[in-house]
Amino acid sequence: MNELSARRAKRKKDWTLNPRAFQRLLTWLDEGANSDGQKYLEMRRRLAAYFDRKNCPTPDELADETFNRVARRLEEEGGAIEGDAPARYCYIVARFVFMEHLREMQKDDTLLNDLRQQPHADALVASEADDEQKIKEQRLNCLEQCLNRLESVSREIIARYYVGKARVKIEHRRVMAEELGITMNALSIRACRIRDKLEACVRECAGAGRNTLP
Amino acid sequence: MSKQLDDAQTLTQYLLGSLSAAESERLDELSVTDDRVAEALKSVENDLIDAYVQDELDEAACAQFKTYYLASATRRERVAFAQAFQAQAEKRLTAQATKAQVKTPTEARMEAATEVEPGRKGRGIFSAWRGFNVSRPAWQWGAACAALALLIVSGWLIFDNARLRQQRAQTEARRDAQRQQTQERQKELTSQSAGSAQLADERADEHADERTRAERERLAQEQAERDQQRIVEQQRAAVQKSSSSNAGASRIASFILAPQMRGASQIQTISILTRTDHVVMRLRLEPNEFTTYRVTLLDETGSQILWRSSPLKARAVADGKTLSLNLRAGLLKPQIVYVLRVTNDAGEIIDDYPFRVVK
Repeated sequence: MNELSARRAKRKKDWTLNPRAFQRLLTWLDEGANSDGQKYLEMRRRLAAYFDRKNCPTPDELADETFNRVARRLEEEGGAIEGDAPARYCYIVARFVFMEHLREMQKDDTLLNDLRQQPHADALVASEADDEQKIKEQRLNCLEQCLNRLESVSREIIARYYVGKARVKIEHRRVMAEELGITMNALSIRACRIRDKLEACVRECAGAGRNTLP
Repeated sequence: MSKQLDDAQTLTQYLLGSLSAAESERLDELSVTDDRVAEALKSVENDLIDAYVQDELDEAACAQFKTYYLASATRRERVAFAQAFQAQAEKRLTAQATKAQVKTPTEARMEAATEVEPGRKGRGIFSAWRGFNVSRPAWQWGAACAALALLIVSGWLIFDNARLRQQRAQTEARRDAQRQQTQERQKELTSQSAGSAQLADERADEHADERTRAERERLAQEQAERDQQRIVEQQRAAVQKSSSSNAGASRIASFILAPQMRGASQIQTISILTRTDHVVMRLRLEPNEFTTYRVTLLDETGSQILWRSSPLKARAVADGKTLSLNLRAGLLKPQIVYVLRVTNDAGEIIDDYPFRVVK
C-alpha cells in the first residue's frame, strides 16, 4: 500500500504541463467563452498577487505550480471539475500550495529569513547609492518611452487620473468621469488596466536595460 | 460581497496586514474569486502606493507600509514605479510653471484662474503632459462633435428649405386661383355697373377688395384644415397597416438602456405589455477597447444568474457602441429589479444596467 502511494506521489511529482493539458486548462477557465487566454492571465495575476501578499519570495512560480496542479486534476477528471467554479477551485489549490510552501520554508531557516518582514530602508541601504541613481534615471527614461507608446486616450487618462493629492485627486477623477461620460468605477477599472500595462512595460524596459549593463 | 468588504479602508487595512486573520482569509479568497473585489483591490493598492510616495499616509499607516507592504520585492518594484511616475509628473509641472513665468500678465492671470477652478485644475495639471500630445484627443473629439453638429444642422436646413419651398408653391397656387376669381368678379362688377358713376365704381371696388380678402382667408383656413385632416388620415392608415401586419406574429418590445452612472440611485423602468413575447434590449456601452462581450441577466442582488448570452459583438452607432440582445418576456416579472451585466471575453465587468419592469 505504501509502495502504491509512493508511486502515485512520484507520478504526480513528475507530471508536467503539456500543450494539450494547457489548452484544456484555458478552456476550463473560460467557462464556455473564448477569452484568448485573458481569463488565464487575469487568474495568474490574481494568484501571483495572493502569494505576494503572503510574502512568498517567488509568487509567479507558486502561481504556475497552482495551475500545474489544476491542469493535472483536469486531466484526471476528463476536462471538468465538478462542484466549484474555476476561480474558487484555483483558490483552494493555491491555499494548499501556500501551506506546502510555508512548511518547506520552515525547514530552511535561511529561506525563512527571507520571508520575514524587512523594512524598506534596509533594502535601500543595501544598494549602492550610485547604482540606485542610475536605476532611477533608467526607470524614468523607460517610463517616458512607455508613456509615448500608449494610445493618446490612455495617456490622457493615466496622466490625469493619478496626479494630485487627496481631495484634488478625487475631484480630478470626478471631472474626468463626467468628461468621458462614464462612471467613476468604470474609470477606475480603465485607469488600473492602463497602469498595469505601463508598469509591465517599464519593468520589461528597465529589466532589459539592466541586463545590458556592463 | 458585503458592504464592509467593499470599503476602501478595509481593503487598505488588508493590504497593510492590519486585519484579523479571519477577515484577511476571507479577503484572500475574494481577491481571487470575486471580480469586483479583485478590481477594487487593484485600485486601492495603486492609491495606497501613491499616498505613500506623496507622503500622505499618517504615521501609523506609513510605519505599517514600510514594515509590511515593502517586505516584498515585487511591491517595492511597484513603489519604485509610482515614484518614477510622480517624479515625471512633477518634472512636467515644473516645466509648465517655468513657461507660465515668461508669459504675458494676461496669460498669467488666465492660468491662475484655471488653477482656482477645480474642474479646470485637472486640465491644468494634465497640461503638464503636453510633451506627450495628450490634448490632441480632446481636440479630435471636439472637431468630431462639431462636424456631427454641422451635419445635423445642414440636414435640418435642407429639409426645412424643401418644406418652405413646397409651402411657397402651394401659397402661390392659391393666390393665383384667388386672383383669377377676383378678376372674374371684377369683370362681372364692371359689366353690371357700366353705366354708374365713378364714385359708385370706387365703392364697389373697395367692397370687392374686402370680399376678396375675406375669401382669401376662408380659402387658406379650409386648406389648413384639409392638410390637418390628411395628416391624421395618413397616421391612422399607418397604425392600421402596422397592426394588421403584426397580427399573428410575435410581439416585440424594444428598449435602449444606458449604463448606470456614478451615484445614480434612479433605476430605469421598462414598460412591457402582458402579451409581449420578446424584449429587445439595446445596451449603450461606455467607451472601451473590447470587441466581444457577454451579457448576464441577474437578480437585484447580483447573486443569481437568470439568463446568459452567447458571445456578442458590439454595433457601432453615432455616439459609441451598442449591444443588442433578445430576451423572452416571460423571464421578466413585474415590479422586480433586474441587472443586465456586460462582461468582456475575460469575464471582467464592463457595466451594469439595472432596470425595473412594469407590465
